[in-house]
Amino acid sequence: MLKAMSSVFLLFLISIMLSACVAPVKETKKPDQKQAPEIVVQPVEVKEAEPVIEQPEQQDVLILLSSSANTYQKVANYLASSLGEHAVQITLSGLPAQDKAVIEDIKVSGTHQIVAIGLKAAEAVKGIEDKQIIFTQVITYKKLMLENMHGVSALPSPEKLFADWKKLSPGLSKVAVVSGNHLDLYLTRAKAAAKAQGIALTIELVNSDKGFIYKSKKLKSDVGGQWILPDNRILSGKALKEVMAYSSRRGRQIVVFSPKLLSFGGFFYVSPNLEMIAQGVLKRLKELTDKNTQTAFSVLPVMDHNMGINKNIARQLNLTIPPEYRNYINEN
Amino acid sequence: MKIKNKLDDGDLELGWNSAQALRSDLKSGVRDDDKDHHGAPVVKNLIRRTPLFSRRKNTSLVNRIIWLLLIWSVVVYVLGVAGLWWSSNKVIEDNFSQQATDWVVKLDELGTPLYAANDEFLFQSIEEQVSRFPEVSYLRYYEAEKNSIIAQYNSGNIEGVKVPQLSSSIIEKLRLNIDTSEPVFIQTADSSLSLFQVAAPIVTRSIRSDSMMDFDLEEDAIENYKIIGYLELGLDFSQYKNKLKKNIIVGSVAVAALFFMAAFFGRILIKRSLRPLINMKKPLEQLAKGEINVHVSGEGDQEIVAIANALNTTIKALKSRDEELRKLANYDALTGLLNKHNFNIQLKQEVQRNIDENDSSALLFIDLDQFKHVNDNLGHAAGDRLLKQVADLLKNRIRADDVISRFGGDEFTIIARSIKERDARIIAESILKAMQQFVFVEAGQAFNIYCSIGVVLIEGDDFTAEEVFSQADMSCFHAKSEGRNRYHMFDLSEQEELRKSADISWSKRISDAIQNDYFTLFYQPIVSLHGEKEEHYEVLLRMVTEDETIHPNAFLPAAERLGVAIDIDYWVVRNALRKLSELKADGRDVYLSINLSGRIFEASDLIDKIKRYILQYNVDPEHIVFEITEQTAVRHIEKASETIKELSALGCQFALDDFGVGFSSFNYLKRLPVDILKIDGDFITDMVKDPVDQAMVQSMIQIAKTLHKKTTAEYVQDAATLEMLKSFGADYVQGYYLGQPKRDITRKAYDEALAHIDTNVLTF
Repeated sequence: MLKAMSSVFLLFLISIMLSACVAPVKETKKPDQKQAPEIVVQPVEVKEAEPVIEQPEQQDVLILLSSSANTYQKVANYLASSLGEHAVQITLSGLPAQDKAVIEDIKVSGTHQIVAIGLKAAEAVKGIEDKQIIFTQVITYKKLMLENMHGVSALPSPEKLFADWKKLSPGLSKVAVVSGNHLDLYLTRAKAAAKAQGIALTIELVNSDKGFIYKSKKLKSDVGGQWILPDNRILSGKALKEVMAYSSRRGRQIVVFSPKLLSFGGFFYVSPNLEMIAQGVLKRLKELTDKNTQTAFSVLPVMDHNMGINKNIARQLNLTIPPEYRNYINEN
Repeated sequence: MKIKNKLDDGDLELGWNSAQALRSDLKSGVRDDDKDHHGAPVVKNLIRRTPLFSRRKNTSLVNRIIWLLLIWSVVVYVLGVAGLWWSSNKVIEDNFSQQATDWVVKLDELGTPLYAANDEFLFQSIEEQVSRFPEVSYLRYYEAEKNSIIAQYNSGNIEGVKVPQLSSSIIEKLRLNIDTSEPVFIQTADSSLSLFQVAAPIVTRSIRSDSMMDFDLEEDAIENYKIIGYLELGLDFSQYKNKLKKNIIVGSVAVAALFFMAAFFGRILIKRSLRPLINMKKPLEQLAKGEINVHVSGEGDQEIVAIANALNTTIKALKSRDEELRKLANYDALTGLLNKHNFNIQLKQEVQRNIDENDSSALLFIDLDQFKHVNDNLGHAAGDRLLKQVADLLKNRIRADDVISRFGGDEFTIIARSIKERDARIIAESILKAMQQFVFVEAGQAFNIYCSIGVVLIEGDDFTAEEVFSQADMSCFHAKSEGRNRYHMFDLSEQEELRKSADISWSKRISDAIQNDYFTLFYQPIVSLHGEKEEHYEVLLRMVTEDETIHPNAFLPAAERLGVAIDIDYWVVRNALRKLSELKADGRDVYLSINLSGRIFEASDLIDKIKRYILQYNVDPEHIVFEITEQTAVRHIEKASETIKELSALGCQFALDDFGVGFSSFNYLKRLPVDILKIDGDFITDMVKDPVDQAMVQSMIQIAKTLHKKTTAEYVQDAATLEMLKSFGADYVQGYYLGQPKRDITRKAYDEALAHIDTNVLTF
């Protein structure tokens, strides 16, 4: 417990430091939509779901899903169960005309708050100016950095990730991540989190799956681990298979974002806890309702994630899974 | 010379035909350019000249098989080489395609730094790798947006060659191939390049954003594609192609040589295998010409031996049959003597031999005197036995070199070689003596059989074989006329008489006359002395040639001897009835008297034929009178009687011609149911002056009346004779006084004949 507390404190300090690096937020009062500076809210540890019981001032919330994907639906369901009768759930069909009509209806509706789950939903509603929009399950949100938009991160907490990784592989000293652009802040935070664990994180930026393959194969041989982010812009099925096969053959530990990748050579996976994401959304809704908090663009990180360990790879890598992680062994 | 002999006919023939064709072309002045225009017919002609396609039926089977083998070999060779060429090219093309595809994949990966890292210096390492493969002529990487080359490599083998950049149409194709990333093979416009050009899009893929959270690598995640560049590659496989081409040419030549050798040895083997068949050609050709003294060699394979055996068996059977036929053709089946046909040949040869050797021989024509009596009374079997005994007797009377034949019926001929007249007479006398001593015993009865012999010497070249024979025949006739049982030596003084009847081959003339209608019918009126007005004519036969009209007395004896008298009889009957039919159609009521020879009673189909003619020409039988001579009727008394009865039953009438000449027993008249007695002309001609003739005629008319028969008097040449006959009670008259024989029958002429009767009546 003490250890956990010290970790939270450490994260808190890092957040303060990061905030200091970010340019001071200038509050803009122009009504027109302009790209807002990014404000990353300090990490908030949400240890467990705390359903909001009393929300007397809660307004109606429209939950817009990009698709009926399972992860989207789970978050939406959680929100709906929390918001009760105030939640209205809509899923985009993927048909442009139909979706356009839906958006037009949303624009003229009396609903003031919109939760957009997934990039497609977020992009669909980003033009709506008179409503408060909270997006989530979006990896890259550069185009969504608008005044009336706020996010909840879809990426796992790097601090926790590297902490777990170090525990699982104490000898790990160099890891690399090949990523797409516009994740600078997150990656900076990740680098710091890695360093905090005594790990040197090499960041390679690419803009295509070809680049992903190329850079992955060009990593130095002393890099003991590769972290693969769920950045769809640079990932393709072929690239993932090729890179994972390549890295596995070289005894490199691969941290992936989905349990489905463990069978391709992933050491362990981390993905944000969907319930935590939903809680983050609820928190954001409350903040916007209260109006006491800042209204500039910000993305709320999620500090907890789901995890699964590939014991076979661990065995191949001669790693011993600590007892406290044995619950995370993926048996599939 | 040996080589020439070894060439078979087909080879020489083909060469000759080709030479002929060439010569023909040269002669006709066919120019080369003309030949081009008429190439197809020339080729067609050449093809037709080959034994395989020749329409001539006499081409050689061996050559045809060899040509078939040769053409088939050429066809197989051409198809084989073409197939080899095509399949090799196809394999190479496929191989090149596969190689090109592999190259594209490899170069796509190698070129990643250009796009992923924007590091153009990395291209140097690509160049180093690619330059190790000489088939890579050039390599280009394009940037997609501007369609500009960002890096390129050129090998030395396309130095100086300008290869154009990717066209917009190719790029469009590549864009359409984005999902498969399949390379596009470029059809280069510059054929001199000999390049295998290929292009492929360089594509990046990304997983769709909404697929990341539920990511499953094993599912076919829908990915986004983006073309970031193009890859163009030029591969030069010409060296491989040239090598292949060279190999195929060498292989083709080798295969051609093998085919040639196979054809050459195949030809030898086929010819050797079929040699027994070829050897059969000559004997088969001889056989086809009718020669049967041929032996087919039975060597070789079983099939050929079987053919040879079959042919030899057939030839043997043919020989046997030929021998039998020759025997039948040359010998008399009954007596074993030479027959008429062979004797004629022997006679001709003998005549020629005598001319050549200045020799003389004798021809004896022997006719049995009582043969018909034996034949008629004792039957044909007895007659045959008599003939055989006579033949044996005659054979014993001649020398080994002499020739004896049964000429026909009861006639025998002998050629006694190298003798003079005196010896001929001795031989004739000895034969007569032998015959006089010969007694034919049959059915417990003994018969003396005599013969009449005509003898003629064969010497010099004055007479042909036919003429000599006629002389002998005539001499035999003389001998018979002189009382039979004697011989008559031919005398040259008889020559003139003979000329008329025998200096021409009557056999041929009669045959020609029947076939070509040289026979003509004349009609002489027979007039009633009782006022009957119906036209009645005797039908008289004449042979009309360009020069003369021949009386039947000149050819009928020969016709009877030659056995064609029956044919003449039928000709006369047929044509007379046709005439009667025509006259009937004209509405004329005419009666015709038709003469029948003695031989006609030997015909088994006499009655049937006459009945058929009557039906055929639709004439009234009552208007037909058949005339037979008294001698004929007596000789064939039974047959004649039977025939007369049958035809009389139809309505036909019968007249007994030359009545009185034979002094036959009046008893025969009772047995012959004739209607008319036709008194012989010899009694009529001088009747007015000769009281004996008058008495004879008168008594004959009386006898006829007694027998309820009518009488006709012929040879009436004047009114006095006519008047006398009328006074005697004759019923009909006929003669020049009343009308000469004429071809045409006119009522007017007949009325004129009738007028003589009326005039005479008026005279009285």
